[in-house]
Amino acid sequence: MVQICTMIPVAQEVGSLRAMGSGGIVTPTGNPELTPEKEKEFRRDLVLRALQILQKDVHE
Amino acid sequence: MAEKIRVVHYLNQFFAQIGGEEKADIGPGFKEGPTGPGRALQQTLAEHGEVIATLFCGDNYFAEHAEEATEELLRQTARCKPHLLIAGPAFESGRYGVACGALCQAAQARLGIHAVAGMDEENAGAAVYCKNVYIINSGDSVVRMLATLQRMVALGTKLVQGARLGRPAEEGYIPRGIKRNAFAAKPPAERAVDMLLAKIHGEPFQSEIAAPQFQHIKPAAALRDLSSAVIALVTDGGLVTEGNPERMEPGRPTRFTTIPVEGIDRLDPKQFDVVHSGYDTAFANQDPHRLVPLDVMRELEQQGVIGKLHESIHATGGAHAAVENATRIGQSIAKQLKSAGVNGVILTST
Amino acid sequence: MRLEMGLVNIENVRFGSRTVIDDHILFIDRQELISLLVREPLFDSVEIDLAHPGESCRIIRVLDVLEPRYRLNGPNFPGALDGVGLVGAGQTRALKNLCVVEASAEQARGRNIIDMSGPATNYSPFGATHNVVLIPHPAKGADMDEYRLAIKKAGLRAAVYLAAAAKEVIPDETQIYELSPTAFNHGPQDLPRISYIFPIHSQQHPTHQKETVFYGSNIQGFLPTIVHPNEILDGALMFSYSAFTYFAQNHPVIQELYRRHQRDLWFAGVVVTVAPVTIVEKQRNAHLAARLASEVLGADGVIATKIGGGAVDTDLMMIYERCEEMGLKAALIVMERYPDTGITFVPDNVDALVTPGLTRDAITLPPVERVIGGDTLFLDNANPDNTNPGIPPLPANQELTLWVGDIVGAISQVGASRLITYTG
Repeated sequence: MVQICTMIPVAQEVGSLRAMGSGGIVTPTGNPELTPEKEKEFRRDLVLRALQILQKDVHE
Repeated sequence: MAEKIRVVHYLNQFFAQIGGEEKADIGPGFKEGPTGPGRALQQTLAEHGEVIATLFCGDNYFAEHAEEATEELLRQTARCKPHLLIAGPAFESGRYGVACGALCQAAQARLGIHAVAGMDEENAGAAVYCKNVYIINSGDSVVRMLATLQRMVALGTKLVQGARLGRPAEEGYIPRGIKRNAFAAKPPAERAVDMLLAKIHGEPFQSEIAAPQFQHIKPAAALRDLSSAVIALVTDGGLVTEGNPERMEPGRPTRFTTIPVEGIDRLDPKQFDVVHSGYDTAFANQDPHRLVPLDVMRELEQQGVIGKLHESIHATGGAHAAVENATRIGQSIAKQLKSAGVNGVILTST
Repeated sequence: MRLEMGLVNIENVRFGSRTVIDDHILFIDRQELISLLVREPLFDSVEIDLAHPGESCRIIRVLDVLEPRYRLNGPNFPGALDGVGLVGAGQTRALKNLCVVEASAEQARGRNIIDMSGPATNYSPFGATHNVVLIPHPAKGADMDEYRLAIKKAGLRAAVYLAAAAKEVIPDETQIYELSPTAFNHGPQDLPRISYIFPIHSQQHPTHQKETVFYGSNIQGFLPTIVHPNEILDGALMFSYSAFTYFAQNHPVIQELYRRHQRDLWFAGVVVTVAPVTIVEKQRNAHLAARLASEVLGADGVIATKIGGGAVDTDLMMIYERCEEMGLKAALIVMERYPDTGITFVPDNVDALVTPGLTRDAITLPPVERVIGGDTLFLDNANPDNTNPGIPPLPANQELTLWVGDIVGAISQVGASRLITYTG
């Protein structure tokens, strides 16, 4: 599992080691300040990074 | 308190005077009135209570047939219509302690009666049951039988009367790991300044909140082949279908919802809502993809970057979740996903 | 900068033909105050009710609580009520033992209550104050966010109106708050310099465009900055949510640092900051706040408090770690929400935490004769943890089982309470 979130330290504390930064608390996979097209690109980049992290080994 | 407290007393085969280890295989049994240490229990209760019956079971029998033994003992308990179940004290005896804890927990949950167990704090039963059952710390020596029974009666009486309990040290029970408030001698701001000054001066001080200890989780192995992997989307940001028909809780969640997305390539804001008390849900409501990236995932599936997008989104609203509930929800979702052949999960959190 | 807070003790409050303080009794011209408030187009009508300590009375749907204050040379609540200006110097009148309480229709699903008698009064100071309750009803079709902001403004207006009656009254006591500019604010070497890092808002619930939090600003994009502590006490700050403005006006940490200034510590000043919504911004604000305390205020130690939800435990831990890295000692005040773990998150190296109490501690409140602010509460009496949206409303005058945290004033995140916690 990869977690797209804001509170990365909390995530790691409870054992979610594949935690990565998001678009913010209220829009984890979005950014309302961008145009819809740009926002979707932002989301796609985030998701691709998440999928990459899924393919990496992590150690405690 | 006018009415006498009706008490049922649970003992193992030894304290019920059936026999020693050689009788540890006997099944559940019943005696009218107090037996063995039950007499001291009755003395302690005096005119405020009555030991209606003594229930007993062999330690081995309970260990090997826990469910049936509990069923039968509950049945016998219910028959007596007691206010209070007193179990033990079991001191160091592990099988006996576990039986006491299990029976008390079941009696509380299923019969709705109050229960107090007694055993040493190191007893295996204490570790398992102290969270849900009040267990008086008897120590490891039978010498403390009477003192322990007295504490058990005092605590049990308070439970029956609905009186507020004192701290573990005062009442003698093993801390259940549940925090409570108490009135403080000094206000928090003063205590904070005192603590800071002590820290600065190198003087001893004690933090008021201990670091929560979380279970050790082994991370999953890396995904080997993304292009054939089944990926599922999960969120704790409170995605629900329009109108929240399942009445998902905006805070303190106790469950999750499963939203089917087979054949859907975008989340229409008119068909979804976001319910979560811990953040402003307006942006996610406008465009649910800001919470769950279904549109992008569907495209990546069509492009062959991932093998398949799982057929449903699992969602809960994570505001102020109790650790127990969050753990249970997570385990349930993981179990469902695993048995559906999902290889990887993207969890989006607010 | 020197602030003289003239305290006028109020022993009772009644409606009368004109608004005046006579021998410690506040008389309120109800019609005049209503006329003043009902001019707001977002209100259809305004009720004003009085609740006295000891009465069998419950106030529900509480949005904010304020202490009446009047600055003799103005402005009052600049940016939020009066025009742009500054606070924190000069003479201010404060009415003590009396509060303005705002009850809002948009709080219908909320559980903020004040009981004027019974066990709640053991926890909250507002069961012992005479409370002037404002109940503005929204105009038809009013935007609920704007209506909420209008109520908060009405509260300021009422607070100033009432305290103005103390203009000519000689205070019963005068408290002096005086602190020199940072450059000249030095004490003896052996007194530790203590600063307060004060998060005033968490953007997990973003402020409205028109919201007035700090000197009338909506504080969006707010970066850590230094303020004079008097500004917090004297009307520069109105909390958006998560804390009642009374506790800015009577800020427990600021008052404690002032109380001990020049005694066992040197009050080195206040940094205000905000908890943002992305991890990068949280890190940045923590760095900046710690840097201001360390290099500009020259602090040896820092107290920091929390505001907002569980998300902000992270900001506080970051502030702690940055401070300690810079050689400052830190102690935090963090409200506990969870009966099992207390707070969300504590790294092992955080060793100085103070708890103002646990919100989720159940308490049963007795039935009352009178309810102000509405008729019903959405509450599952058998289980205060139940937040199922399908819960039907309960009559608010009956016996209620809810959380200590629902009692207004019982636990303030800025460090006001009568509580400590233990593991039972």
